[in-house]
Amino acid sequence: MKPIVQSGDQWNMEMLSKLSDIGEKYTNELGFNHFPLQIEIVSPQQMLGLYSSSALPYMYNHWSFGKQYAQEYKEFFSGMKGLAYEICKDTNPCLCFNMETNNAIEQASVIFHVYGHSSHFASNYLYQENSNSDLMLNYIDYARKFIKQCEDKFGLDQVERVLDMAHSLQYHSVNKYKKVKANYEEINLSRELNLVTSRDYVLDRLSPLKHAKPDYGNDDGERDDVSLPEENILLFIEKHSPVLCKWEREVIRIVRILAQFSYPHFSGQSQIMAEGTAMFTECYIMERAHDDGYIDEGSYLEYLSMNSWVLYQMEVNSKTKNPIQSLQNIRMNPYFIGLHIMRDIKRMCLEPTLEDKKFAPDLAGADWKVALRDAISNFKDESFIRQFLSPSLIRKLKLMHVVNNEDGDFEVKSDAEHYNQLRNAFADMNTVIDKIPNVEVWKYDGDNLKLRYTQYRGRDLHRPYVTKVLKYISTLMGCDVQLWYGSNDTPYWLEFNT
Amino acid sequence: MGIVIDRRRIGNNTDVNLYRFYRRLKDSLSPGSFATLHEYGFYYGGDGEYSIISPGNDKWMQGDIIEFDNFIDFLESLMQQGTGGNDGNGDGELFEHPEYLNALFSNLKMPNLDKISSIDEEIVRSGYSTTGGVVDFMRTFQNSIGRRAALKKPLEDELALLKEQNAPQSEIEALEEKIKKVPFIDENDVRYKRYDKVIYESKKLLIILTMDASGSMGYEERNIAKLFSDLVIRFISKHYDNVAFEYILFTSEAHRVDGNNFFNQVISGGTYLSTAVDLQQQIIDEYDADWNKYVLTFSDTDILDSDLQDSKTGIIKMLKDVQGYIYCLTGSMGNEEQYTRLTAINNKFFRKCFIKTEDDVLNEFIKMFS
Repeated sequence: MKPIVQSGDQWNMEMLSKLSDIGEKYTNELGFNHFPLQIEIVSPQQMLGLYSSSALPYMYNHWSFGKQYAQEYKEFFSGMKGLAYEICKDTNPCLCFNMETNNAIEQASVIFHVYGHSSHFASNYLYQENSNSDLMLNYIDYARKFIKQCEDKFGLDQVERVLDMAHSLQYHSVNKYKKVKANYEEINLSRELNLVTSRDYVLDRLSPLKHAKPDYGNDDGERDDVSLPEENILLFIEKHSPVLCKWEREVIRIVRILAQFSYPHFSGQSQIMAEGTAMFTECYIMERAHDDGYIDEGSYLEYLSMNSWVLYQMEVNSKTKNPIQSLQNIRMNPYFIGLHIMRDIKRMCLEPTLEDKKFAPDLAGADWKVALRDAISNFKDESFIRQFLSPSLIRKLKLMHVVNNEDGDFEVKSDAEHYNQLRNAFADMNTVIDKIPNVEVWKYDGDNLKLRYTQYRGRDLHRPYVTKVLKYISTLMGCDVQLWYGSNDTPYWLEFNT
Repeated sequence: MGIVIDRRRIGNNTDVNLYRFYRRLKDSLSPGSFATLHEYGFYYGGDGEYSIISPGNDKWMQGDIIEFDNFIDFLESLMQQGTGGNDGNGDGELFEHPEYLNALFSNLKMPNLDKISSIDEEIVRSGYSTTGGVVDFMRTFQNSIGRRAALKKPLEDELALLKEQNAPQSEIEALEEKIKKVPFIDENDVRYKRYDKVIYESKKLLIILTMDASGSMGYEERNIAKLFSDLVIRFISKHYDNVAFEYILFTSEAHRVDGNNFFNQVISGGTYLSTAVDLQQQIIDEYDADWNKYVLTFSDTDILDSDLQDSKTGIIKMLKDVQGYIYCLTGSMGNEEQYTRLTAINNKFFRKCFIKTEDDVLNEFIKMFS
């Protein structure tokens, strides 16, 4: 049988289609539940554009996306950063953007990699709770149309002003615990678009009126009462601000719903699992395809060498000449650790040692495919690490845990001999609170809004920005805003005031 | 069956976003505007405890200290990574956007740019006329089509009517002959290309950049002078065509150098500003009177009183010939007293500024040329 990919080949459309088919075949062999793939070929400029619009082919327009594009463009064309071979998004079907400059074996590896991502998007509970793969593209389409209408009617500057303010709060505008999966099918899109017509338009055109209690649809669930503390800042502003127009409220709602969709991604809670699944699937499919003759020897060797640099993990004080790379590579490479943990799960199922039997008794002798499926569906990074990072893997990868001290140097806190300590420290690093500060709405009495920041590990906020964000909130709510600091040990004290 | 779509032809949305970004960039540069290029938010920063997991257990054990150079940069890169917020670290980042300088320069101009060196003529195309030499075929044929249609239509209608009524053959043939005789091109159709003479003024600029290269000017001070000069060169090259640059490096003697040496050569010695002033005067005299001449001098003014008197008289004499003399005190350790005495000249062609550090260069540049 003639292989699909021979060494030295360039890709063509037919080849991509065939590769997609065998990718599907082997993913089903693994038993992973996944979304079908929609492969789109893009040029490098388009790929740069996709970076700045979070891998969506269309999104509403904003200058910050342009700024990100200009920065990425400069970094890429001055050689400081490379481009990913692909980028994909958790929609159904899974959109997979391949670069046209990949050669045949790169395209093959990319397609198999995205099958892994697609399995993760389809099975993992975080995505099922927060994102809505079927309706995401429809909702974004609606968002884009609505914002365009607002720009035409109320002016570009006005809309930009509201979007700037909403963007600054978007990482703090998700429902982490109270989840209400809105039925977006019930959103009557024509009703929403009518917000900007005739009668409402006249009312909205004047400076915003102070309403006693704003009146708008309640399709978000039972969150109409002022119940504090509130973690979702934009939700609070949308429902309780006395000074916003209807269209401004809708824009805020759009930003926070899109933030909720991308919550698993921006909170950094599932990067290791996503990349681990993807790498594992990719390696598995590549191996099986090579065994069955679809990929020939030369291409397979090329693939192996290409893989080695993706999986490279730097040590904490290694320096490269490229300053951007050296800082980012110090952190744990998610591809590296994800793949190793997944492979370790398989090993613990097939050939457990005594130590493994003590560490994870459920895995010993179980079907590794079932175990992996279970891991992908029910765990996020933090729980994944706590459950599956085995002592033998810690020893094999020679991991250690360092913390910064007062001089700005690092101190080694636990080396591979203190397994539990290291595992817990690593798991804690992959929680939401380690990446995004916990700022929530605390008290509100109509004239004064109090926010509180619960300190984590003694960290401070980036102060120059805090004052600006508080001004934004003050504009949106029409009242004074205070930010209080506190922690679990100390009572809260006033730190910032507008 | 996998779906494969070729999106390369469809294009993407980035042009609109780029346009909005440049618009925002321009707004942020105009004074008194609240537009900013920063993306605000609640991020971690400053003090606190941060962890890293990394391989290396074969080299270190618990309690060891690893030295690390740039913890601040590391913190800032953390800020970007976790939340995906891609903000630059302060204004330094913004400076490097390719469009930033263009947006900046569009609002600035050279002072007193009065001298017009020559008045040139240029011939440009400007539309059509009914007389002339060069025929424009497109227009001519368009007119002829219109005329023919207008003349033929009633005849053709009549012909159709006759055919319906089964008129005698002779009448039909006569009418067809008439239709054929409508001329293809008429004199009134012809159009010619029209050319105009346009008069424009060309201005010539001479810029003399002078840098103090004495021992008191350290690396930082020279860097300030070079950054400012670089901005001036870029600004002028962008806006004006006929420009000449002259470079002077002076210690106790003044040397005329070329651009490469101005930026790269390292010399040292004492400081005699008057030698530089003399050399500047000499260069100015070399060029004709219809050049717009500008002189920029960067120094830390670490000079003797006698030297100061000589330089001051030299500069005042030079002000008759130049369109602008700009004196910049570079470096926070510059001799402010001598500087104030030297620059106590009240003349519309004389300007001065005090640049303390590298970060001030851009602001001073904007102030100088607004």
